[in-house]
Amino acid sequence: MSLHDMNPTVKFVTLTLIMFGLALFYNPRTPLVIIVGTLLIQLVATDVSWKKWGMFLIPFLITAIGTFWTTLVFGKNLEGETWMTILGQDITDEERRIAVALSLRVLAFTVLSLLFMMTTDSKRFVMSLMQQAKLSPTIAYSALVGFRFIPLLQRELQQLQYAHQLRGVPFNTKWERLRHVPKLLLPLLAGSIRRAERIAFSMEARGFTSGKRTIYDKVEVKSSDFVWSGVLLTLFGIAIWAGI
Amino acid sequence: MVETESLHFRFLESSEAILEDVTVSIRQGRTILSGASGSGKSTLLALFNRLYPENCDGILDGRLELLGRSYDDYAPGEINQRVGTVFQDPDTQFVMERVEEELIFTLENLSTPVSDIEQRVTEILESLQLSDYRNRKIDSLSGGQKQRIAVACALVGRPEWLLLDEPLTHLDPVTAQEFVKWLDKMKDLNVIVVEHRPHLWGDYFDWHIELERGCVVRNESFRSVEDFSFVKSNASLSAIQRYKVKEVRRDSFQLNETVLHVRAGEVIAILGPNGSGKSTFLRSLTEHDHRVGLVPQSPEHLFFMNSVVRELQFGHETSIETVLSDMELHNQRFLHPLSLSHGQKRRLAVGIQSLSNKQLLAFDEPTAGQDEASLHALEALMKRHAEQGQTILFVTHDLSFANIANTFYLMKDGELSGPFGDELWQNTEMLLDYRLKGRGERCHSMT
Repeated sequence: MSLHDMNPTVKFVTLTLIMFGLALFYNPRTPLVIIVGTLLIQLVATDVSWKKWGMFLIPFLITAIGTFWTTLVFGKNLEGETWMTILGQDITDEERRIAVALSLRVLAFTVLSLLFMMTTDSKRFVMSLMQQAKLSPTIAYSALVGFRFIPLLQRELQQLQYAHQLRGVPFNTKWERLRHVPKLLLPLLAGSIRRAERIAFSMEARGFTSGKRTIYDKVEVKSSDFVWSGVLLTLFGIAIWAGI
Repeated sequence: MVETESLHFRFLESSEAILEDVTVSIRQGRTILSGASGSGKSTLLALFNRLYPENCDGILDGRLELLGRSYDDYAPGEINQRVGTVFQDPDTQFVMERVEEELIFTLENLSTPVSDIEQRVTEILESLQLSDYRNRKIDSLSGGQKQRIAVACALVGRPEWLLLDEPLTHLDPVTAQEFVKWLDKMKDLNVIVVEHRPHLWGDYFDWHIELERGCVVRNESFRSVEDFSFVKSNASLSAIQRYKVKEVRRDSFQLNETVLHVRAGEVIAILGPNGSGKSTFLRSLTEHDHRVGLVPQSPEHLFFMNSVVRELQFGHETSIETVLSDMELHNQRFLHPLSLSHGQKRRLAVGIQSLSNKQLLAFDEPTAGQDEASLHALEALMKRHAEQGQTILFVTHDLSFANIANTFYLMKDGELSGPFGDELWQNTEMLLDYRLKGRGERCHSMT
């Protein structure tokens, strides 16, 4: 029984609930328990590539450290015993506690989001939203087409940049690249609209309407989904208890 | 299948009629709908599967009967269960990631009972000899394979008719021929094909309808058609120039380094199958040498200013008046470059290059999707620049158009060979080897 098989909508709702709940607690222990617990679950019940996970984590880790630092140095001054002195500023124990809590919260959000992202197939998620959350097929299939268009868009952007470079538009520094972006947007948009129209015609010609359709690939809600949901919510319960 | 009587069609925003007094009756069998760009053939096809007038602001007059019922009698999506369509662009026809999923998507649209879906998918793939592709990712397929999958998707709903909208445009000649041969094996298929180059289809069709500016100018039994003909450039050749094309390595592909010796006034064609490295070659040629100007396959990729005049004036102080009149763009001078017609865009692209004094003009696939008039305009444009002493180099699939060249190069697996003269067309082994000619097919006739 792996977390990969859990119904994506149930997983999404559970994790979203926990994240909203997490925002209500202002102590360092609650997010810490969530982080440790989530990592344990990830270790036991998934086959996520930890290397890939680590790569995704890096920017958020930097954000967390940044949060820690700015809260410490620029945060509201709170009374209390001095923990240490940085840049001539006295940091109290209370200030440190809040800084740790905030940065751990950032990490807890990250770890939960990554757990969802790395154990959920985007196509199955869209299908599940359509079947369980009554998302309209028009939006669901547009999203799927959107996923497929991303590489096409990248290719076109490269072609455009290359063609403009040939015409003598300088692209050497970051600033030069950035300055030219608005000029790339219009042709890119024109191309995308043309493509979108074609794919819409092609879908319609294959009988796609917003009306009745059968569903071959059923994404079901199983009892094990609620077990998982229960496990995750229990973890949250323990985390709250640890924080009191 | 289709009966029309005095059919008129125009878009709301324009007063110009797209279709004028079209009266045709299309019976079972294989029908071709030919005509130049803008002749109304694609519009007529879109009326047959009811994409029009539903999805555009169009005004339709006259009688249009589809499968025995008036067109406005059908509920949305209803006609699409009885008529399957394949479009021109292989890249914008698919919704899902894999072949099987795409077929299932189509069957779900048609409300096929879930218990039948598996079997229907297997059946259609088997009957079209496509079973090997069942679990392939669509993005990993070639253009020709994608078009076959598009046919499978159109046929999986068991339609009574199959419509194809210029399905060969993006395929190289041998792939196109193989596609036609493969379609030909399906005997009881009723098809309507929109095509501006009927000769690619050999004797596939039974009936031929041709449109010209919205009017029917031909409505008769099909007879094989000769391809358009093009005449070799006779610009005088002078000084030899040397161009070095640097090596390019990318994943599993490698373009080998070559040195080109070309003469001013020479017209050069580079031929080879899809994916052989022709575009990479052009890119490497243009990237490192300021004497080379490039006209991309989509000329609009070059444009980023908001009027023709500003576009031409970008980056230099030279007067643009001569170029404007040479390229017949003086009436369009204040228009937005993206609003020009394809021919005008191409002329603007060439105009831009002329102003920066390029000695070699390279065209990437300038022939794809072009009708006869447009190809002849391109021919004239290239020849004129050759006569002015520039070297013209183009990459193409179009062996008839390639006739205008003095010199040929062949490209395969990143390796360029040549130069060849007209003797190339006698060398059957080589033509087969470079997929310029299919096995068991008569030698390509050259003028």
